[in-house]
Amino acid sequence: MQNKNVKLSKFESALFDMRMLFEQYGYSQYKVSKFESYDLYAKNKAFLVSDNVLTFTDTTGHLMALKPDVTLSIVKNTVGGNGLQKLYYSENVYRTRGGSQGFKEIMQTGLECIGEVDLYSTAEVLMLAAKSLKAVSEDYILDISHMGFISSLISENIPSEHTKELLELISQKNVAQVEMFLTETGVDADIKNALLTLTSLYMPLADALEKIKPLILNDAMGEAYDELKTLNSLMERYNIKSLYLDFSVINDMRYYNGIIFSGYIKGISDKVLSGGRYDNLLKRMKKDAGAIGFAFYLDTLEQLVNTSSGFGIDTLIVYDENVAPEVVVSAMEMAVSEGKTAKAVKKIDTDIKAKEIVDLRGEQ
Amino acid sequence: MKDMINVALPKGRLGEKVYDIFEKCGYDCPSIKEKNRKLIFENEEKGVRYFWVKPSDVAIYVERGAADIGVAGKDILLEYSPDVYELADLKMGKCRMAVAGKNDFKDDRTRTLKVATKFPNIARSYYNSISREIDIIKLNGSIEIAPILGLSDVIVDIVETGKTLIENDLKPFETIVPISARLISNKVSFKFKNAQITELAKKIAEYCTE
Repeated sequence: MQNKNVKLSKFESALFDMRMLFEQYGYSQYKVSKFESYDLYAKNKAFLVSDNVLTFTDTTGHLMALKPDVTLSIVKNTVGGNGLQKLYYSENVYRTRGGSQGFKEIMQTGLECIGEVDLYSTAEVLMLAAKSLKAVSEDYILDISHMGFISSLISENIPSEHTKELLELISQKNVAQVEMFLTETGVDADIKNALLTLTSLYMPLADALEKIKPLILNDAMGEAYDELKTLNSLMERYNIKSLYLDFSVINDMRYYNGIIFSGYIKGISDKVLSGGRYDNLLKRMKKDAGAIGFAFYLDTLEQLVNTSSGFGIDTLIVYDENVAPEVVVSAMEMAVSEGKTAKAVKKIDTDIKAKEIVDLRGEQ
Repeated sequence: MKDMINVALPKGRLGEKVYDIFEKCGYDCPSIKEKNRKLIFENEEKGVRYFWVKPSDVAIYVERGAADIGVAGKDILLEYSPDVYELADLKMGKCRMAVAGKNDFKDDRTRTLKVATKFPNIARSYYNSISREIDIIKLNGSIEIAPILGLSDVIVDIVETGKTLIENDLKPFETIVPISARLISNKVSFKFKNAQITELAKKIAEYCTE
């Protein structure tokens, strides 16, 4: 029986819509266990959002961890080489968030595309990311960036011991300090100019492509540009508009290579979605395959203002000791069979807002 | 209706100077100068809403999105490394983060160095970078007294003119990093109010480089 009066919370309805969406595009659900050997995370600490992992020893004395991340577990268990695997998951992960030191249980859903990743599947993942955001709110933004464009520019011209500092400044959009940094390092004027433009750049993808075209200085940048351009035209085909190019979206070069993206929703002050192409992670794990995917942090939806109707319940049924239980049963069942939400109480609680009150007291 | 930009300003002398810059860049809000106990001031026409908060809290308001933009010292940004965009250097409130000690202080590298500071993260990363083993003593104020009483060997603190140090027979030895006030922006607000914030940041940056 479909009960229209039970309103799904934003959280539940978004999760439901996303799962529908993923299934429609042929992604199958992948279940992973809550625990994972700590070794996996120790080897790939830099891939995790926060390096705090909740650990415990199992009955055989092995050091185990409560999963802080799902992607690593999925990648570990996939065998590369045969076509393209399309998976989605929705799991709880355990890690710290933001500045707070305590561990949080974070509900996360996402998808991974592992195998021979081509332009079509890249576009499909990007489109699904945009539509997942749209399932929550029309007011969303998907920022996209390309590691290929920026990493070749940096690795060819900046000494590797300084890259971390530079990437950090770029991720803060700190134009003034990037300029100072580059003057100190003494790079060529055209490279400096390119990096400064990329740092401050923030505009819709279609317009941004025009702007970055003259900055192409090597083959890798040219390839990255072509990929972004094709993706842009494919996104137009999907009718997805809120796509912005932003090179402050940067992830670890050791894991990510191609496009990376993050999603935002108006009214939520955290990143709600994060994803990208991470072939380098598979290479590190000795798997011969490409991979792209994203994760959606459902816990951030708490921040959205709840727009409930104000009524907690449809029918409040009030009874006392003098009312026979049978009477209460039939009154309740009647309300429920009409598809209403009902609650039987002995006292009218002012905290409960009901559309109607059925008072059984004094009916004897 | 145009979205308002929420601006967190640091309470105190620096904040008043910062407001003057905003005013000169066309984001005035006359009610802010009135003497009353109000906490929030807005000018709907210009699309800005100001509020005063403790200087060290500005970054928190901005990081969490309660304020879209704010002005905070580089010292705070280095100490707490909030996840925000740093859009402009206001080139004011200039000072430096420095190591200071008693006039006759000599670093004995065979011992662990005791460092008193309000900025443990900055101190730790500085001494890590020069591979010096230290013991951090976190204080909340009157740092200068620590080396005098022998609580610590040196202090890591903000030095503006160095006057307080001289009066207490202390002197700065090394500058860790120069400090000035920065315009910061919440990362999500920057995206959803992009046109307004970019315009404001550009005006402020231009004014400050003049």
